[in-house]
Amino acid sequence: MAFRRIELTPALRPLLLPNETLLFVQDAVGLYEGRYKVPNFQNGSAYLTTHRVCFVNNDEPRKYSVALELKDVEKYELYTGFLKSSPKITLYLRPSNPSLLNSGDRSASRSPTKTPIQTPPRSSTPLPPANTPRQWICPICTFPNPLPSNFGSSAAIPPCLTCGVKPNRAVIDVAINPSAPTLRPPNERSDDSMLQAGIDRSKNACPRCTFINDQALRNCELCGEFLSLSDIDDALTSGNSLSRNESPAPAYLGSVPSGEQIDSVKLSFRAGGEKPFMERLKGSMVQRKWLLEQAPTAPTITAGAANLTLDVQDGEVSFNNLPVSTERVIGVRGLERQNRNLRMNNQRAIAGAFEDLEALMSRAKEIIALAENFATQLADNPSLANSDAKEALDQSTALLALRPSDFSVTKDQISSSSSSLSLYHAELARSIADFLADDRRSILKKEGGAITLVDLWAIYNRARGIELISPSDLENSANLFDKLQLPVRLRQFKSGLLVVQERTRTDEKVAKSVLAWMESLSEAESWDKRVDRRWGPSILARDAAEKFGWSIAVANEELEMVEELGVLCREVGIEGVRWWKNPWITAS
Amino acid sequence: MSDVKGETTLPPYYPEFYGFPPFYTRQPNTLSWSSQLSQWRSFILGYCRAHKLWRLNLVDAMDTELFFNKSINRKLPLPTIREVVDDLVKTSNAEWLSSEKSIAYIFWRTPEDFASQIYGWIDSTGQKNTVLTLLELTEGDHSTDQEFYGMDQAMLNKCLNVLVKRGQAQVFSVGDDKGIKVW
Repeated sequence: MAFRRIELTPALRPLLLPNETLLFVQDAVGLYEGRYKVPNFQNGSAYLTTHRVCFVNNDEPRKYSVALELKDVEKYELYTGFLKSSPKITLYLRPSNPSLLNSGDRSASRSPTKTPIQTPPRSSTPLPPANTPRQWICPICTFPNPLPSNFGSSAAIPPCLTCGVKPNRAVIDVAINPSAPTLRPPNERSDDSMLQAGIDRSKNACPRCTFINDQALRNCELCGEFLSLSDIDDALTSGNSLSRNESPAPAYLGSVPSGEQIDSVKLSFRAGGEKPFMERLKGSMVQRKWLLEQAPTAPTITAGAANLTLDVQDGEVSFNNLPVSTERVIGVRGLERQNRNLRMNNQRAIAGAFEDLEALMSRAKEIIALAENFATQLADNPSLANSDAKEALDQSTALLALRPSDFSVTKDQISSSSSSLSLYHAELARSIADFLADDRRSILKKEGGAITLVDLWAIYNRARGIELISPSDLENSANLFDKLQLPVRLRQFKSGLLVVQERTRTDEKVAKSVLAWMESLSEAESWDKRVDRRWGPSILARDAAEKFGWSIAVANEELEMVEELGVLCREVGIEGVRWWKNPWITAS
Repeated sequence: MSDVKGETTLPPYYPEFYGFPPFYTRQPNTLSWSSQLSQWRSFILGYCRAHKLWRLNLVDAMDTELFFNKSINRKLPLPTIREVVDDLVKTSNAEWLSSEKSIAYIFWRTPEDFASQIYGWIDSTGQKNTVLTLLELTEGDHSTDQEFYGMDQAMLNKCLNVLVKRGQAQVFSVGDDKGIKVW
């Protein structure tokens, strides 16, 4: 089954993968497997991202939330609904191939340095082979070719990247389906593939030098060749479960009558919204962003920035034509060369990215990563640590990183059906909650745990950069915090000031911390000498704001709240309100 | 008493909060305010008793030690003073002279208490069934040691009315003067 459980953000939205962007949200969606309704998955929101279709249950989101990767979808169709039957979108799955499912997160660790080598002739295959960790060994030149991620039984066989010869299908089958070799009649294979497949896999033999390696090794001990992953991987995934990002176990949903093959999933749109969903689904199926995710990490600007302004699809092609290099240079020389390549790439990336704004946007992620990288390098290297440069870098990183592609919900991501406005606000509320809860930014922490709605509006809009939201939208969304049970809440102080703060931060806690702070104030500090010491120190709202990182308005309100609890009392003087420990209530 | 240098030299009727700056700000918290209010009440009454003050002109009193602590330079603002006196009026410990609420009689004992005191004094000095003028009561040579000595005439009338109501005295009017007979 292609569904997997997904992780949710604190605000109960699907946790997006790096590079993944949210495209569309629709509520009141039900889920079908084949022709059957899936119990517990009948009332939820469907999130369409560039990589996945996620379903988040409305009532018990932590329990019943699943995602279907778009790369497992073969085709899709729209059913417009009839009488009482709601409109539905059917997603037909690729013939399930469980060994392919877990492969995504391994690619990153598997391909440390990829330097371009000879580009293969451009084939008619729409999905060039550069993206998956699975490899097939060319029987002609023994070059280990990567297997296309979406390779199915019906897809065209890609040619070898080095010699350009198309292999026998059996060779690829070996790579796809590692358990198959024992079942397959041997006479189907060509001689060369026999050579490969005939090696005793259970002993983890190296496909190149035939050295029999230990089961756990991934590279051949002798020649460094990537070992064919089949056996090892299955052992690893079932045993140690190395995959990190998401819970690996596919969730089996409900029981399906035996003998019935589930090859499709339906999303039933009970409150409409199927058409925009379909359109965006179409778009993302065409764009196939999930391929980009696995594209080589090093930026590939060959000469100048000519290809930077290409649109996404062209950019993708240019990415994908990069073959994976298995060239290996070992030792200090290798490291140096690696460094040199990296530096050159960085240089190109920076030069290209700043050439025009469009390019900058498309390169944003790389540039952020570079800036962060430089910042850490500077911090690590005290001799280089010019404080100005450091500050500038830190700042630029912060500013760049503020672009929350995964935080911005826009109105066009929400369908235009009747309930759309409240859905938009709900999604906006979730997005704001995520934004506030994001550890990298730690906005609430910087603001002392509470931020006024006005400040939040400013920061959030600055983070969005484009597609700004209106104050009333923000207020409407903030009013939904409680209803959606988000980890933040909107609080109205007596004066009417609205602040957003963490749900866990109660008045009592604030009072306690204020009191503890006041008790800790040193005796000599800042007070009127004429006043008897037994009354303890006094503070101004300004002091509290400084201490707790509040804004003055928030500090005032918090102190008034603490006063309300009877912990503090006030003295109105020429310099404003001065706060003292309350001896009336604590004494009695 | 006139010079308030430290808490130790203060007479006992000064509240312990006299040197506490927030004491001079009306607390919005109701609980704090109620204790603050009762402290101010007893302080005003105690102060007036000690100084034999019968009527309090609020504006003038503002700058006296009662409402102005020079040592910490804090002053109770006029509206808050009014609020306190208003509260005293409610418990008949005070009475506004006029509706402007600028001057108030302060009964640091309630009229009933004073009435009993007057009755007791007349009784103990054997002046029952004799007619006394009001001036004899408050300014006579024999009553100098009494608490009601020097009492404002209007206040005295009020106290005597209590006795009249109890059926223990009768008030006569002789021209402008008034007389009282207790039995």
